[in-house]
Amino acid sequence: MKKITLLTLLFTIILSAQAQVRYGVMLKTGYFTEPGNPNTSYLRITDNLNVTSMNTSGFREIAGTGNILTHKGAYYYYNFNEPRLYKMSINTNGTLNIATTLLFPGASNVPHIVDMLMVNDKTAYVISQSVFKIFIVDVEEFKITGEIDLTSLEDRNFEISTPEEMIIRDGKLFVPIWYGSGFANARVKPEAYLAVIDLATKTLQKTLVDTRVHLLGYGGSAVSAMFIDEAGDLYVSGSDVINGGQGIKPGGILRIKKGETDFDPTYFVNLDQICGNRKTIGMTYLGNGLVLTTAQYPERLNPVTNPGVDPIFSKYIDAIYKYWIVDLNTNTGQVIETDWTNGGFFNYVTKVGDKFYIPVGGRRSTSGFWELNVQARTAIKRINTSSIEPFGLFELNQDATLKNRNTNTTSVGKVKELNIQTLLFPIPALNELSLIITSPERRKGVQLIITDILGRVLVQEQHDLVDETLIHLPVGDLKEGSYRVTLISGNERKSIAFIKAAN
Amino acid sequence: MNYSRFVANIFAVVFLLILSKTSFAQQSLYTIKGKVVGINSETLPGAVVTFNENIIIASDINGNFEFRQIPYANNYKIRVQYLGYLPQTITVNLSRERLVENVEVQLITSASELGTVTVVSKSEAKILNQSAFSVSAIDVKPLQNRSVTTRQILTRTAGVRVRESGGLGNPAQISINGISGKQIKIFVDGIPLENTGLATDLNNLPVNLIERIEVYKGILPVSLGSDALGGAINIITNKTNREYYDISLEQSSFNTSRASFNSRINFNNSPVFVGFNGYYNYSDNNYKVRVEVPNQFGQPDTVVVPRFHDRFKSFSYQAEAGVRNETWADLFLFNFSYSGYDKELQHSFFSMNRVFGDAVVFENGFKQEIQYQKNNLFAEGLDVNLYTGFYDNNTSFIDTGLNKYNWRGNVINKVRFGSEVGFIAHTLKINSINLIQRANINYKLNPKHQFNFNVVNSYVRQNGQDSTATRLLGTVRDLYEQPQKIFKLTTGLSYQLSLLDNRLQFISGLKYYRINVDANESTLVFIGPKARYKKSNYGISQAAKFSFWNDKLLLKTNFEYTTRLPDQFELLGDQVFVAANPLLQPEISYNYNVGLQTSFDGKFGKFNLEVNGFSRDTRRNIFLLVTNFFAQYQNIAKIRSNGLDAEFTYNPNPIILLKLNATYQDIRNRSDTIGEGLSTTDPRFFNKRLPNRPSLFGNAEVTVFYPGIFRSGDVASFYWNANYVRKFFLAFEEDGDIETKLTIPNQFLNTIGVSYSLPRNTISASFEVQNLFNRDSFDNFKIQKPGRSFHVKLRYFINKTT
Repeated sequence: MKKITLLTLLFTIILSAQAQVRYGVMLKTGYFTEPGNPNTSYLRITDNLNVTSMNTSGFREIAGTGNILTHKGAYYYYNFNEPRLYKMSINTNGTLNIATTLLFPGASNVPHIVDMLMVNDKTAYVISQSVFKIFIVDVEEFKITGEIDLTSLEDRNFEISTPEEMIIRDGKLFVPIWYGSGFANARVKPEAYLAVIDLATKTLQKTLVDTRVHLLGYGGSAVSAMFIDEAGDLYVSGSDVINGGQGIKPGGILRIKKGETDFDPTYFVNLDQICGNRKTIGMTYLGNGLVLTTAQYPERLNPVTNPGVDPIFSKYIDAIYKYWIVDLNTNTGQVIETDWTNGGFFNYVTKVGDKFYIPVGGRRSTSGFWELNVQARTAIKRINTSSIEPFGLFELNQDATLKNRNTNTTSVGKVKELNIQTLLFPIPALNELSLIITSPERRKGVQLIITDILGRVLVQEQHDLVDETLIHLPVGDLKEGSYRVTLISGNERKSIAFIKAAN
Repeated sequence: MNYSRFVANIFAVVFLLILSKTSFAQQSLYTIKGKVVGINSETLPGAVVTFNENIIIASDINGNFEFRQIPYANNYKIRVQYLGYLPQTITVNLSRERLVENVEVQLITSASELGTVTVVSKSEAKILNQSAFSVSAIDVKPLQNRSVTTRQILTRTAGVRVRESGGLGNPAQISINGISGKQIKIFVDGIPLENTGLATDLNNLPVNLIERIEVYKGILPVSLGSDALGGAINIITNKTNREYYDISLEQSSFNTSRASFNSRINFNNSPVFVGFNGYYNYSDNNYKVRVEVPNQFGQPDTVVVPRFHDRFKSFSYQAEAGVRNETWADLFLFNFSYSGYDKELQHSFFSMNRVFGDAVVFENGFKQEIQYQKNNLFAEGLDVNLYTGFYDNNTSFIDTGLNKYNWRGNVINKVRFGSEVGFIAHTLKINSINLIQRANINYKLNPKHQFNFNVVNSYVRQNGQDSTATRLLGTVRDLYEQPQKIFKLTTGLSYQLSLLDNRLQFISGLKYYRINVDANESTLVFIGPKARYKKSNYGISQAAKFSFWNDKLLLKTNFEYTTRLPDQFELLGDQVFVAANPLLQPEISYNYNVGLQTSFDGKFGKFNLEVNGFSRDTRRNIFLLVTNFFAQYQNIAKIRSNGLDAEFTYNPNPIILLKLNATYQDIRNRSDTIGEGLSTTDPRFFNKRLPNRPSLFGNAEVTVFYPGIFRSGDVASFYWNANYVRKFFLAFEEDGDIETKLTIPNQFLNTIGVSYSLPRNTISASFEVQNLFNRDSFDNFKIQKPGRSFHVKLRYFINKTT
């Protein structure tokens, strides 16, 4: 231990309501592939989005690509090439370690987790591709504790049948079901299927079928297909991109009105038609009836520079997509003039605070995280990632139970004051600080972070709070200067500043 | 195919000319120089040396002897006798490459009651090593008593790395000086081992069938008529004219059995002979792997369990008949073989995440070959070698498993439909017919000037059926019913100039490559439109060598501009995981080598040092572009690899052999920046070290011989081999936190063994322990290779003429 000489410690305690917001970043690279070396993902936590560029320096390397879910400081990752859920721990410098993992049974030829839904702070639902079950996971104990049986929905003639995404409304779990066969779902059922599960009994209540669209849900990809608007209506979309754009059905949106469990027969939005008769995929709700989607421009495929490239393959990876904003109130759409982006459904559109960030990954000069101006229907590049594909940006402390739900009225990213009382006092003999926390309720896994004046994380710990909790802060190695202790529980936090000085 | 007919007609004409030939030109005369030494390499003056039982001379004060004015022939017998030593007879095969043949005969004292002698002549292997080509010729005969595989022999060679993805029968990738995979061509006796079926994979060939392995680094001689990009392996099978029977049996861990039988039967003084060869390989491959298995809560428990679905079986049975040493043919040979292959699939090619318990691949195939050789045809020094082969292989891939397994082999999920490997269930049957023809004409005008002309053409026709996939996809036509055709032609001409008694040698070569593809641009789902395209290219090469100090120091350099044509699998895929891409462009490469060899023989023993510097600049590299869902071969990169390999051998005395080699290779991405795509052409990776390739590896080996350990003439040997590979990263080094990089760790694996053979090597036995310390072993990311294994091999060898 580095030894410093201090005669006394003077601590000035300043209560602060200003909260520190942290972000998970995911970048992707590694198109230089060969057997055993598919795409590679890079993950990291950052405190600062006020940067003009980002690279993979200090990022954790993960083989393959996958999805991230953050919830109240917890960080989960699941890969596209194995049915494994990772729980990551966060180092003081923002790098990530694999804390523990959970393996799910697989049933598909490329088993992987297609969706994870946070039900509350302790429970999540997980779908493993082609397994007709909803796995119930205790995320604190990190174990599978139960399952909801959906095997009656299997169809032996479509081997890529699988439950897709999940969303909960009024005690019902809504789960789109895919019925496909062959690569890129070459043969599909031409209808849309949506399972309605009663969460009180954890049983399948019924299956909705609709012929206006097919292939609902985009499980296993970064984009969403479902949301609940301010009125409590549930919307779910399907896409023709999923099965190679065969034109069986257009990409479009169905609705289930609040309080009902059937599709609204009077409501259908043809997204493809609104977006200039282009194949669309993905649906992110921006609030006030506005939806963000991506449209495909296959004429962008370049047979000259990529001779012989499988056209389906290219449609998956090439930069042939553009973002569109569709107004569901008027059924009109407008393209967002970003640059071309690739793999329209491989990138997260993320709300951070009150801003929407859209990843654009097509060309080196333009790739990065772009900030979307919803009202003006424009976007501007905020963080340049150059030749690295931006995959997603996630607020670490967001409440994932609110994901895709009524974005105007929920507080995704909004930080509340943590309801605790603190008393910070020095113990010079031990060269440390003691912190007494009085909490009206018991809280598990509260994060304690000490940062310096530049916001660099120096100490990171987790504590369970009881009525009165005494914590010894390891400040012996700290040099003279200003610091901040932050306590984080979900999207609630409290900061206390102190100064360490030599006397 | 017009080209196919054209080349076939050439073959027919040449055959007719040969069969009508009746006269020969006058022959050159040769000299055999020799030296007689004792077991400690001391010279033996006054030894009685008998040439072909009718010329007797004595070795001079330095132990030297010489026979002059000898016509070209094989099988000259030289018998050496010396008081106090056991007499020995050696066979000398003259080479047209040299007017002077040097041999060394080492006698062993009779007082030690040894019945065998070590004959050290200038072998074909040594001759090749001293040619202008950068080549490592490995004499396999000393290894035939051991439990060693062809892959293991190769990976112990300087500049060569074999990356395996499992036990016996699992796929492997060979790299030579930075060139790897399909860019390396495999030949058997000069015939490309392409489209010949899974059973004839390099690793299936038992070492007892092999006399020598030639590893060409960079430039290939024109006589190896193929389209390699910068490296080739030529397996030379046993070629003795003597009657012999060679049977070997090997049993090893993981219920592995290997057997081989080779024979040649002569009929008194008749030129007719027959031969029967065959091998059988079997392994359960149930070696233990360290994996994670979820408990009832999904929490992964690390367990060590045996692989449970990796059984492998292959066999090949061959019968041949021919005549030799007739006026119209030195060799005229027919052979017919039947081979089979049967392999369970345990996991996907790229990771052990996906565990299979039902999927299998099996194949059977027929092969018919005709070979004709005649030296001094029409004129002295005009040698002709013709070959035609017809292969018919039927490959099946069955992937209809409904069970989902964990690594314990337990069924954890049972589905009512589906597959394990592919996206949908497959009952795929593919028939592949391959016709290959080769003509090689070598003309040695005189000892200084030599020409070689070589032409190889191949025609592949592939089609098949998959009723299961067709039904599941709901397509009207079977994806595989359309015949897919590929025609390839490679031809070349070389000129060799030898000066200063062959101490200075130049070899110039010119090659022409052509490929015609007639195939569908099918995806994994749809039958695409027919694609017909033709591509051709030229290649040039230049090699030179110069030797000093009585061949004790040799310098060589060579350059090549070469082309590799995409192969059947790259063009047509398998439509299960790899999609077709019939529009692939040929790869090209500029290859450079500079080499140095030196050897000394003094009171501290003999040593030999070879150092080879290399540079490869390859363009339009064909990579298997892999996504999580499927793959396709594409031309996507330029790569430059520079490096150095060195091999040092040391004999402090005749019973100890020490061998060390090391290879350093610096393989970098040199892809041009094209457009602004986020891909291979990313300038961020320009000139960066290519990921997933080792940069440093090497081998050490010590062998100790104990002649006469139990009785006169027997030999025991003890050996230790160590193989080292420095860790390397799966992805570009520049990306990510160094502490979290996905890494293929350092490997240091040891093998020890002992072998014992009775006099004349009639019966031998060996015992070997591979991966002695049972280390986790990886060549590819997280794909575990076998741990410690025990091998016992017995060999019975009868050579009727000695």
